[in-house]
Amino acid sequence: MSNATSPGTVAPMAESKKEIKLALRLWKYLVPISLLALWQLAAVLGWVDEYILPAPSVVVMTFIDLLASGQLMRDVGISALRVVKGFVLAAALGLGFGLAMGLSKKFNAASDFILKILKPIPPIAWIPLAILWLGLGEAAKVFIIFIGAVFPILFNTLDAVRQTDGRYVDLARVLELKRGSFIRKIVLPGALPQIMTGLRVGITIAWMCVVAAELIAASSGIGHLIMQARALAQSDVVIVGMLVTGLLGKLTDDVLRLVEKSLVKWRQDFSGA
Amino acid sequence: MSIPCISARNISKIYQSREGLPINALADVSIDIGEAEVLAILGASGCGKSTLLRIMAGLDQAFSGDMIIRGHPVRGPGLDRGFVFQDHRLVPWMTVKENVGLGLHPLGKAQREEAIASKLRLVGLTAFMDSYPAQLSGGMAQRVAIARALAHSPDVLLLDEPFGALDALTRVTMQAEVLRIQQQEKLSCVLVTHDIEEAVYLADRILVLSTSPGAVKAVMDVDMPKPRSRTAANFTQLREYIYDTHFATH
Repeated sequence: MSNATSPGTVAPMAESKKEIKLALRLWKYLVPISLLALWQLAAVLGWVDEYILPAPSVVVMTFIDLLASGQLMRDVGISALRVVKGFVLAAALGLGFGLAMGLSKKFNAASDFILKILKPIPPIAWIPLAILWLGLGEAAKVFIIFIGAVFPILFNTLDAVRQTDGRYVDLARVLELKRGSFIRKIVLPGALPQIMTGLRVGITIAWMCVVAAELIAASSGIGHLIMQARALAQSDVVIVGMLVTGLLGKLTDDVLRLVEKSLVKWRQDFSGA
Repeated sequence: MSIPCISARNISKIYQSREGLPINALADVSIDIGEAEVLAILGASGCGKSTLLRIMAGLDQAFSGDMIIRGHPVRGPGLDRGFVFQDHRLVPWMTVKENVGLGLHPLGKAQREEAIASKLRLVGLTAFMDSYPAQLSGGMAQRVAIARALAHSPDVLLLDEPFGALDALTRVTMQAEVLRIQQQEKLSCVLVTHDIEEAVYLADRILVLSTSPGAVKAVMDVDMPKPRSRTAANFTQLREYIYDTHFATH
């Protein structure tokens, strides 16, 4: 090829915004659909054993079956309730401790060391103690979710408060703002975006933890569904359980992102190039 | 001159450098600012001029000497003084209106609304009252900052290199704007600047500070009617005289 780019085939440099939006949407759906097609092809042509990786069509059929029998909804409902309980608890304590530690040096000095040691312990490592302390009931699972979600919420809140621009302290002094209104008008609104980030990380980890807790000790929930299917070598059910968890995680994250968007109207964000 | 608005008496400040050496930021500075007077504090960067202003504002309380505000020694920051920072320092999540009202907490709602409206009218930004700072240009943001500093009707306006962050053309516009506001409201102002032209344009008196220690090098009256033409002979003469006498490096 001597001349690959004749003037007629060169894409126009300045695409309109609408075209860019369309192209992005194409990318968004094109990649997953192609992967799905490849997966289906691999199953149909027998590249992989159906026992190891069933075709997407089989997974979809299994999904519909589980939905129709009501089993999926029951397990999802139970897991979701555990996630909500654990997350709400984690949000309440994480926000409370994070704010207290961010605003009070004494409180921070008293709790920082212990919490920094507890933070890296994986939530799964808590499962034996959780069962020992709380038994095999709901409380143990909620506790594991709480442990997983509380630290990102707490430390994001703490960082968010600590990152308040110091120059506003001078401004508050000049305007004789009381400490209470300084916190309410300057510190908290400024910390909000990062607090929301902490909550979003927290909800994602909550979904990871509920499945982990149910894998080990449960008679219901998505984790139990997956574990039962493993025992029966139903990899299609395992995959349904995994994808449903992922989907629910994304859904709850989306809800929190919408909340963030409605609360943080003042910011002009960079959204990637 | 009647009772001065601000009276600085033998203000000195020594602080420790990072290496532990004592640094003489201000040495024995005395100056009075009268009613409706504009005093410019002129000096090179690092001469302590901002420190002097911060002491007037009550933001810096580690100094020796007496800083008297309307007959009372300064005990900290207060709403009797308005302060304009070099950056506009508007709160990004508050609208223009909320920013201007930030220091109006002692007032009732109706009075607060009225004060905000009148100050936004004064700086000509009534139409932007519900905008967020990110939607404003640099000059507009600094005008909102001025409205905020004036909202609580302070006795004196303290300006800390208020136009330093603006481009040259916007700076000239803002200087004229501050002059108009100062004359309209008969404000007492202390303006910290390193811009000789700005000082000659706005000030009734110019205090020149030397560098390390920051001591009074000269206090001169600027006896020209306002508004002043930057190209008039006596304007450029004074500007060049100040430069030659105090800042020339050759």
